[in-house]
Parts: sequence; C-alpha cells; structure tokens
Amino acid sequence: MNIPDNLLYTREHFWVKKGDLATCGITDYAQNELGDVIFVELPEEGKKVKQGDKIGEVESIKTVSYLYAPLSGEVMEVNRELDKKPELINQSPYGEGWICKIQPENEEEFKNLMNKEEYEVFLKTQ
Amino acid sequence: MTLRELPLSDFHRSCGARMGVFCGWEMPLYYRSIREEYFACTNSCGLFDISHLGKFLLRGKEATPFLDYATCRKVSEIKEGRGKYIFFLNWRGGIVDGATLFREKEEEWLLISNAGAREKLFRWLDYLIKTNKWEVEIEDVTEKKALFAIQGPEAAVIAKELFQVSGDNWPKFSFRKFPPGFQVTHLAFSKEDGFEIMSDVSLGSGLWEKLFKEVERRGGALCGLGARDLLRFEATFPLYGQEIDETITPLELGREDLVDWEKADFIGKKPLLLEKEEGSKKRLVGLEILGRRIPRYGYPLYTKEGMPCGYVTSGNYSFSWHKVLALGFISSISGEKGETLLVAAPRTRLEAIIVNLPFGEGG
Repeated sequence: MNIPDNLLYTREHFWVKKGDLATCGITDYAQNELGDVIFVELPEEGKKVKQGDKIGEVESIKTVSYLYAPLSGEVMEVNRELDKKPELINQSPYGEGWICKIQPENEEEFKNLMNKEEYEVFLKTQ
Repeated sequence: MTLRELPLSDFHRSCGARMGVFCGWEMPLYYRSIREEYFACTNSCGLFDISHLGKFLLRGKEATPFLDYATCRKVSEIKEGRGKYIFFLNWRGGIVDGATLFREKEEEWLLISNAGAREKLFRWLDYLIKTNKWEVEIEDVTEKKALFAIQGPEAAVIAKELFQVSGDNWPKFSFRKFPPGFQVTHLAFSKEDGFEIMSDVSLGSGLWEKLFKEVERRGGALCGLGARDLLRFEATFPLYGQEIDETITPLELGREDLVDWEKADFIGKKPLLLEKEEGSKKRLVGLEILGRRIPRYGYPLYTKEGMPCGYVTSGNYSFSWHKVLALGFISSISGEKGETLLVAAPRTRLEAIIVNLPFGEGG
C-alpha cells in the first residue's frame, strides 16, 4: 500500500497536496478497493465546494462511489485526461491520476486532514 | 449461513487475491486487476479456481431416462465421454438451472451446476426422484472435488503438454481421464478456448501448482470471478440469478435450440409449447450503453416515451470493444434492433441501443 508522507488524507480516502492550489485525488487504498475504474464524473471547474460535499463519482467495474471535497474552496482545475483514460486512477493515483485542484478558502480546514501515520491507523479500522 | 471456503483459499490469499462473497462462497474476485486478468485470457491464458460450482453424480438403472424427463434436451443421445449444456425446467417451464451434464458411463452422469442454484437443484432432483420412485441415486460431491479452469488461446497447448495428449481431436464438451485422477473437459465459460480440470480435493493443490507453473511460463495470470464474469458476459452466456431464474423460460432467453420438442415428454413441455404458440411475454436483448456508466442488475428499462418495459440482468464494460454493454429482458411488444431505450440508473438515465445477440456478431 503506497501512502506518501508528503500528503494529507481524508476519511473518504482523498489525498491533498498543499501548494498555491491544493491538488487532490483518491488514495492507492481507494483505487485498490474500487478496482478497475472506467468512468470519472469530475467536479465542475469554477464550482465552489464545501469540505465533505459530494463533488463527483467514480464508476468501476465493481461499484460506483462518490468523490467528496477534501477542502472548501473553488475548483480551479480538473484532470481532463481522466475523460479519456480513467484507468490513470488505478495506474498512478498520486500522479497522473490526480482529480482536481482547489483554491482553499480556509486554512483551518487542513487541521481536519490526517498525515500519513494517522491515515495508516485509520485504514486499520476500515 | 456459514461462509464456504475454497480448498485452496489460503493459497489465493497468499497470492494477493481480493476475496469477496459469491453465492455463499468466499472467492477470489481478482488478484491484480480485472483488466489484466481479462487480457491474460484473451491473449495467453488465465487460471481460475471454480471449485464453488455445484457437482452432482447421478447413477442407477434409470439415470438416463430420468434425466431425459427432467431436462428439455435429449440427453439420452449423449455418448460416453461427452456432455451438453442443458436446462432443468420447473412445471411452468421456468428455468431451475442451466448446467453442464456429462455422461461418465451408460447410467452414470456428472452434473456441474451454477453455484447459486446448487442446493435448490439438488432438492428439486431429489424430490423428483423420490416422488416418482425413479431408480436413481443422486450424490452432491461439490465439496469433495476441486475444479479449475484454464481459458485463453494457450489453454489447449497447456492441456496437451500437461496431460501428454497427442493430436488435436478433442471435441468441445468431451472429457478425458488421466492418472492419478484428473478429469479434463474441453470447455470454457467464454468465447476463448478453454479446459476445465476436476480432481479429488486431495489432489487439488498439486494440480493447481502444475497448472499455475504452465500458465505463468506463458505470461498468463491467476484470474478471479471479475474476469470470469466479464468473459462470460461478452460471450452472452447466461448466469444463474441474472439471466436465468425460475421466472424465465428458454424461449424468453432466446434458446429454443436447447429445447428438444420431439421428446415425448419432459418437465415444463406443456407450458413451453403454449408459450411457443402464443408468443413469449418477454425476451432477452443486448444493449449498447451510450457513455460509461454501467447498468447493474435490476435497473428498470423504459421506452423512449417513458413506458416501463423491462429490467437489466447484467452490465459490464468490455475492454475489447471499449464500450459498456448490458443484457436485459423487455416485454415482447417493445423494442427492435437499433431502437433506443432508457435505463433508470441512480440519479441519471442512460441511453441504450438494442443490439443483436450474441454480442459482437453483426451487432
């Protein structure tokens, strides 16, 4: 299970990379749970979201799951490559399979996210 | 109900299998990914543990006439060493199960049933035998036998090498026996070629190891139920609990070829004849879905005008054809090839175009 230590994590298995914009996607654990992804309904660019909002869906051969916003803010960019190659989520969940970039509106919300160690502990409860 | 485990389940877990529950069995769903395992089966070879399938032995003086009466195909024509895919029907002509039936000896048969129909089918056959006092014994040997499948273009090469068979004369649906106790059948639950190998559970792990080595050597893969389901779906083979249940007849399924009308009598013949005269109430159709949402079992189908007309039985994404396809039943008055139907999926409606079955043939 790949859990990079430079990222932050949500209970809905999103990862967040801090920067000018917060880049996010689903974790290696989540992609492995979903199995082969064949469709991603991406969030809308320009949309204002609240932490925990449903912002999209992932359809895999096995199941359908929601995507939940890891932070509040504006969706500035989405990964259009996933329209053509949804399998990037399986192949590279922390790289080419990123989902969207959010302009965070409240720095305080980062405190609600887990670091690598906390996420590891959290996964043991799943 | 306790969960049943495959004899080799520890091995599957040690190979990284994602396990899931299917018909009361804990089964490998996939090891690495359904995609990889699917392509292993289309390009080289995949190895499946299908020991969960129901296995029955039927023997006795009247085994053959009994089976002729209990199924809608003419099984008495099957020669020793051969088999057929057959339906057991109920009194109303609905399908109790679709199964493969092999003639071991003159009056000895091996029956391989869908996992989900095993207990029910056993009770049904046992009831028929007892109430009509047929001289037939039925034994459920499901948990005494291991059953593995190899599927893909390399499957025949592997079977020939492992069992040292020379020549190519090994017809589909025929089986051979090899020491120390392997029964090998030329048969696959997919469009690709394949073989199913059965042994006593005690010989299972040795057999699996041999098969695994050969499959690995040829760039094949261990495969779970995910790939198995996609392969059978693309081949339009019905699955019990989805395309097959007791409310569905062989005619509705579009499989009149599996009904032998010339047989004097068989269970379900009368209602089936009536259905043939009056026309079926529903029929199985193939659907090509626009977009990449997968319709799942039970999603309702509507005509374009919004009238309810049926339901989805299976949906999947074909990695070969790069599209989402589905199977479903619709009422016989609606829907011709090329027409658009709507699938009611959660939060959205999907457009679906009716295509020919089996999939991939002039669809």
